[in-house]
Amino acid sequence: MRYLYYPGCSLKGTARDYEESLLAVAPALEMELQEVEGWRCCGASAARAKDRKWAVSLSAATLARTQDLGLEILMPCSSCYANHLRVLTELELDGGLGARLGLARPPRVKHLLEVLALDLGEEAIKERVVRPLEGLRVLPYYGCLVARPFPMGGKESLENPYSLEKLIRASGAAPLSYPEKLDCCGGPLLFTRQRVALRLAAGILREAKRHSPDCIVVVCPLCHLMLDAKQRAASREAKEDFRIPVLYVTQLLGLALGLSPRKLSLHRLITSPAPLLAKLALGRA
Amino acid sequence: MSRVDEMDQEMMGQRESLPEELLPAIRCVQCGKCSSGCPVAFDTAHTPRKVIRLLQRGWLEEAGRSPFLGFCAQCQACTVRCPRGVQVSEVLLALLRLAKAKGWVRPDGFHRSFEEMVRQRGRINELRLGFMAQAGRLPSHPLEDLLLLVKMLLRGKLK
Amino acid sequence: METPSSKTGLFFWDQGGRLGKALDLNWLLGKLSKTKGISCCSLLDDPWGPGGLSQVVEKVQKGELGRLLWVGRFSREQKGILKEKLAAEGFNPYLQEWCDLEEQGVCRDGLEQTARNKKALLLIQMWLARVRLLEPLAPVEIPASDSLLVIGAGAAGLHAAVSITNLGKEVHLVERQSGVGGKVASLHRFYPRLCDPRCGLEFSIQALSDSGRARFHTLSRVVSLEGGPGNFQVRLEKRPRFVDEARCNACGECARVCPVEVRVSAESQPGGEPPGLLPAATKAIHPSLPMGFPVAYVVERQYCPPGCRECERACPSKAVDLDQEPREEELLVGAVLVTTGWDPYPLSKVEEFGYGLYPNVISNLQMEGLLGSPAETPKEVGFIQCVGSRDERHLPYCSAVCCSVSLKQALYLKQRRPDANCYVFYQDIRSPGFQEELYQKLKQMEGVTFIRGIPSTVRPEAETGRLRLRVEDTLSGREVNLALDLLVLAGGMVPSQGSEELAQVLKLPRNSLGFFESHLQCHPEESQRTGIYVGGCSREPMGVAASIESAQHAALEALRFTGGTVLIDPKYPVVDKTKCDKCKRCMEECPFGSFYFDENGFPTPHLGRCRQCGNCVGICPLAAISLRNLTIKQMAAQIQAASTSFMEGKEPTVFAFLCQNDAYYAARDAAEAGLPVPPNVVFVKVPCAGYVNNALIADALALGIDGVLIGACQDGQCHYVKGNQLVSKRSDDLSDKLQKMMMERDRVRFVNLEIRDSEKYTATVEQFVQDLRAMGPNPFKI
Repeated sequence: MRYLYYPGCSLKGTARDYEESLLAVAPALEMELQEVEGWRCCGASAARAKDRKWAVSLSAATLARTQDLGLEILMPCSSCYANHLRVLTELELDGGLGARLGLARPPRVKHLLEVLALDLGEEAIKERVVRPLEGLRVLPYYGCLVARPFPMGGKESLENPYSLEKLIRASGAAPLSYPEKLDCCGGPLLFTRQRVALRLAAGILREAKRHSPDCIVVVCPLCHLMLDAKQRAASREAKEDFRIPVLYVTQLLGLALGLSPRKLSLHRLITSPAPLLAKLALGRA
Repeated sequence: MSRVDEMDQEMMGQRESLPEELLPAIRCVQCGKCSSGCPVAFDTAHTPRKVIRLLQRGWLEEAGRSPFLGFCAQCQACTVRCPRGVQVSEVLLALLRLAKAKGWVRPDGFHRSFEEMVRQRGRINELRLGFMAQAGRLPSHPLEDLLLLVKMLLRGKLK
Repeated sequence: METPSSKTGLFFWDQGGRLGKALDLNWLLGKLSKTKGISCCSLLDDPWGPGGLSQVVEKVQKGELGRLLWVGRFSREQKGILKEKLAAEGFNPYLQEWCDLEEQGVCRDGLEQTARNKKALLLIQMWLARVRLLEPLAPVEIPASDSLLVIGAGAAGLHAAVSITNLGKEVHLVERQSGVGGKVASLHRFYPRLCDPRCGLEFSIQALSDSGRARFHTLSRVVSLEGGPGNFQVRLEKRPRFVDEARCNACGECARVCPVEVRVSAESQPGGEPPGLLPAATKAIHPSLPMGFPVAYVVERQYCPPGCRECERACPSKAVDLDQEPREEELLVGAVLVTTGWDPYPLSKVEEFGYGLYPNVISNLQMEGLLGSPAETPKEVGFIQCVGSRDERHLPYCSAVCCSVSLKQALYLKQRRPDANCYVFYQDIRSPGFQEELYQKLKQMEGVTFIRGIPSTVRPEAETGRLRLRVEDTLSGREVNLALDLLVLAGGMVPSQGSEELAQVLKLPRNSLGFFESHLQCHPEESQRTGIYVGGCSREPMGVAASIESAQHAALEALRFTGGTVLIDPKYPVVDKTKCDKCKRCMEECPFGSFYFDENGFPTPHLGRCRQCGNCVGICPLAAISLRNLTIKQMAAQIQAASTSFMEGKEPTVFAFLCQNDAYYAARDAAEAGLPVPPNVVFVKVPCAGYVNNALIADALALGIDGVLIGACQDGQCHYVKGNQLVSKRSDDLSDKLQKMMMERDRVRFVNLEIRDSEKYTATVEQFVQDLRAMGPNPFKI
């Protein structure tokens, strides 16, 4: 399956492990990804907080430069996904907007989770698994923007999505269940209200810890930053130790698909994945 | 106008017509579900429900100056639970934009840096952004930040 | 029957000179007595005094008068007296008409004398034109069965049935479950007295049994309904009980030996979840549910192990018959009552509260079951109001009873466990009328806390399983954090699954929320199908007392279609089969679904179903339909008579059709109040604005009348559902016609009037006349 690939700014920077693991597993999943040429930032949460028209124009630019390519766009970042989907929704509601923005035939935009769970599907992934992660306790964490307010094209539940759990199951691991999987990690507040952001991240980690997971799996680079890079700071805020490895879904699947931890850029994780790898008898990353 | 009339006016609020983006606030019945599910609802003097109430009464400036607005993480929990179909996150964001435009809130350093970078370069370089955002402020936990910075550089996460 | 003589008698009621003050009666009488067909034209002496009508009666007795026109001011009651008096002399009441000059504004001040007389003459001539074409009509009798059908044997249906049997009529109760009682039978207690709901139900059942006039058809559904009021032919499909109702006396020997335990089947619990007092598990052979009436047991045959006949063997009355087959039964009834009730809104759709996920989150209906069981009473209990109701994502309406139900449950809970803590999370507490007392009682109670704020979600505490809940107390703006043992979601009502199915079978319109469409304020129990009445929650969410009242009201209404015969007013429509081309528009547009195809394929109205609104007359593109007392020809004749210009010079004339329910009164009251209604207008009453066929409008204009005004009800207020809208729907066709006539479209005007809109009527006519002056006279004017 071919997709256009819109990485978003994080995946070229702090979340390069997300991109690297995605590009590593793509061939194994028979996914062909073609990076959108000359893509620009979607504006994250900052643009919309200042100037709505400008924010819309940023997403519109992506949609415009890809509209005649006949492909769907895959986005690994929940924020990028939500921003673009917002514009697409507005296009549906406002008939004249398309004309004004030059978007007659905007392409479909899908979050990576949607592509993996719905387009590909649990069974298809399971078939390709060579190293089932049996016995691994994996905690799914969705974050906010992949589930709300556009739950994967309406095909997922707003309150109780199960797509990530399905992928975890496909990898052979056991998905753990907890209601905090949709709670906000505080990401957008990291640079503006740091203590609050850390408190929110700590809240998730604290609840996660109760379930003794071997790792948490995420689908958004900002969530990953909060739970992984900022895990230590969150510990400090919460006065509680966590030490839970946080993996991208592509990294987890990659392990099950037989790829090496190095290839999946597990060495780039801030919170050491060593215990996880030990459990899988995979040595060091 | 007598003092009684004046007090009346204050109580009634200047019911100037709300800007279109904020009109959905009228539909709210103040059930409080938005606040109940908001991760930062009780971090400031105002809950999201209260800010919407201020809008309903036409106290636009007071709403715009609400301390709550800077705490909203746009997590959308309020929007998806509202029984009146008010897109609470959107209304509050629109209010924040208005507040910035009117000078009711101080411009946010981080957001300004973000905007500058996107307008100039089209993409964000996180290292630069981090520094730009931190500029002029003392880090609260310098050692911790430094350690993280080094770790990230070593793992190739910052260019 | 021979056509009654065309000799017309014209009688003026001068009221001691009152008419004469405004009009030159001598001149009028003079002119009219010379008119062809008038055999007598005179002033009446006091018609209300002794021998007052003698002049008329004598002439009638002598056969000198075939038709009558009364001119003057007669009240409705007075008209009735005149009709009666003459009917006693053998004069057909439909061969007379009344022309009220006053209400047409002829007698008011400000009108020049000659003009006044001219207009009066014109009006009288209009009515004469009509009188000439009147026919001697007589009410039609249609046979009416003496039994009624009640669909849904819940509280509402049962109580309605009791009322019906009390009045000596027979009632057939159709119930899809094995037993009667519906949702009320599953409740634990009623508010406000906290009494057992089964008491009232049992009472009704006894009354019905004792009356000998009630027949119960359980495990049954209505599969077809034909015919009309007075004689509906109903076909029922009856599922087998596998137990002979005549033999079984519920001794229970069968259940003792039955080897199978099952959950109560979805079939007997159409809502899906086992509500309230129903046993969660039962044997495959069990008493009727929800209440043990009919007394006979019932077998859930699908659970029987192959070849097992233990119950059959064990039954000492030989009542078990495992080979019973489904069967059909036909009934003939006069009218139908729909009391199919409600189902709980599936709370699994309101995902944020974990219903279906966490075992200690239950619905208010399940709470009834809990409170009725010996289970331990939990200590920390929360009630969340408006779950799924008043919610755009689910049910936009308020389900009426949930507040009172939660209050009742909290009260009962506290009685069972005085140290319990109840928390009621609400937006508003709706406990109307005398239920305020219940609310205040609970507010004072210790351990009962009302928090105005709805929680967003709940989370289970890992170790204890208790539910953690966080909410903003909106009245104080403060955060409240609680851990609850039990959370009760006050869920709402939707029309029952049975209602949905029935709507298809009966072709009964439902509103956008799925409830049966009624006529709300005026006739809430009347559906849009004559002879079919809707009561209780199938119509709107309501409490038990209200449901019973509603259903009994419906029963009262339904009774008029029983009792041997029903008299139908002879004002029903008739289709001219020589003109009809079977386009079926009348069938499609009739608001009451009255038309059916006769043996030659022509649309024909069912006399019982028809409400005689005349919308079919208006809709027919060939003007092939007429109401028997208001035919197209009669109307055309009136229009023709009005086409003589009664105004001076170039002053425009306006012909107005006014709907008799609202617009007419607005016009009449305008004249009474002396409002300055321009004299340019003459009006006729029509049963509904929808009666006005485009051909009549075109006629009026072709004959030189300058403008046509149609006065209809306001949207949503039409007594015939949408007559006012049907008129404007046809306006495209009208525009075509007018274009062909090269007539300005604006010569036809519509106005929506309420019953007291006299000022609006006046202003409309004024504006219309002004505009017509500007347009200039109708080119067809002679």
